[in-house]
Amino acid sequence: QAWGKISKVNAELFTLTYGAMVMQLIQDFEDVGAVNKQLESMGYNIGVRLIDEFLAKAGVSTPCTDLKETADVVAKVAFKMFLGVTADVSSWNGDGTAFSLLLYDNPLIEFVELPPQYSGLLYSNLLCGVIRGALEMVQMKVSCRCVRDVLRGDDVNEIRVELKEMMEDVMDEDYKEG
Amino acid sequence: DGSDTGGSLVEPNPASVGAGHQLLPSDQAQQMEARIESMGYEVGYRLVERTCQRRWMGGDQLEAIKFVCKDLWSDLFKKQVDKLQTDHQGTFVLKDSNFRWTSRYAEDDTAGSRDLVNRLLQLPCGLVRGALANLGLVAVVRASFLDDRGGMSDLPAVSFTIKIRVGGSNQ
Repeated sequence: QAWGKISKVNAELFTLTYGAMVMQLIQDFEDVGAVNKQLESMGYNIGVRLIDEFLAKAGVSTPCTDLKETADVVAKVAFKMFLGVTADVSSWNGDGTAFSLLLYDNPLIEFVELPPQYSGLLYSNLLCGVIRGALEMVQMKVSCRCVRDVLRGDDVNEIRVELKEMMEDVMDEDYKEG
Repeated sequence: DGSDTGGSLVEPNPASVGAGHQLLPSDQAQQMEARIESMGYEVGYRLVERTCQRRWMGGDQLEAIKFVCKDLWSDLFKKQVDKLQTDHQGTFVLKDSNFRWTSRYAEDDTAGSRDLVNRLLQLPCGLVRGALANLGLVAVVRASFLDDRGGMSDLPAVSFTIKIRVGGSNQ
């Protein structure tokens, strides 16, 4: 499986470093909303690069034909590959353009407790950004948000992913042959 | 104890956050490095508390350094430190000839790339300082990737200089 192929980092180091980074952001911005936004955009920047690594090493040979397949690949292959856990796909909407990723075991939130004054913090918002960034690189514009969060008292982490549009594969305006 | 974290020394400055790896004015760059270092300190301090539960047996300064070189290093970087030198007066030099976090960096002898690596290395510096603090040693840690002649050495090779502050030991 793809999990075996990628190099790993100590889980505690990863978790604690992420925690230290979030703490630093809180110190810098002093506003929970701004921290959430920053986490998302950092995730986005990770996602647009991470997709290369994913496509190179995941061994997903056939391109996904619809969002259902994409959702499964994200939940079962990508999450396993980069976080070491799998997510469940559920709660499809009627026309199949939105689904939820349920994360029962989130390594980011190990050792973490939210103090009451930061109850608005979306601690794992980075993941939303990563998904958005990665899918945008394969022509899918999605929006992601954390709807349920273990740190805020829910029983599971739920990330809602909504497909906005499939982007056309077009050349940049500046692109000229030769 | 080591509860005086470096974090309080750093003034919040949203402007430089997320600035990525452009070249920054030196005071800003310094501030950023200090911040990365203090993040490392936090992580190292907490991390070693967990590592110790499994392995640390107690001992003197040298034992603590050895613990860093062997146990901590293999936890963090999947290998041990290659070479440990000391002057027996509280200064230790840890040489890692293939440091994991720099092994993907292209060799490029420009100032910009040096700054970048320097900034990156602040994190492990902080990690080591935090780890030692929790083992009861107050230290200053500096990383260097320069060889003896002052040029860039083969990049994955990094050395860390640890200076234990005299009287900083309480073990």
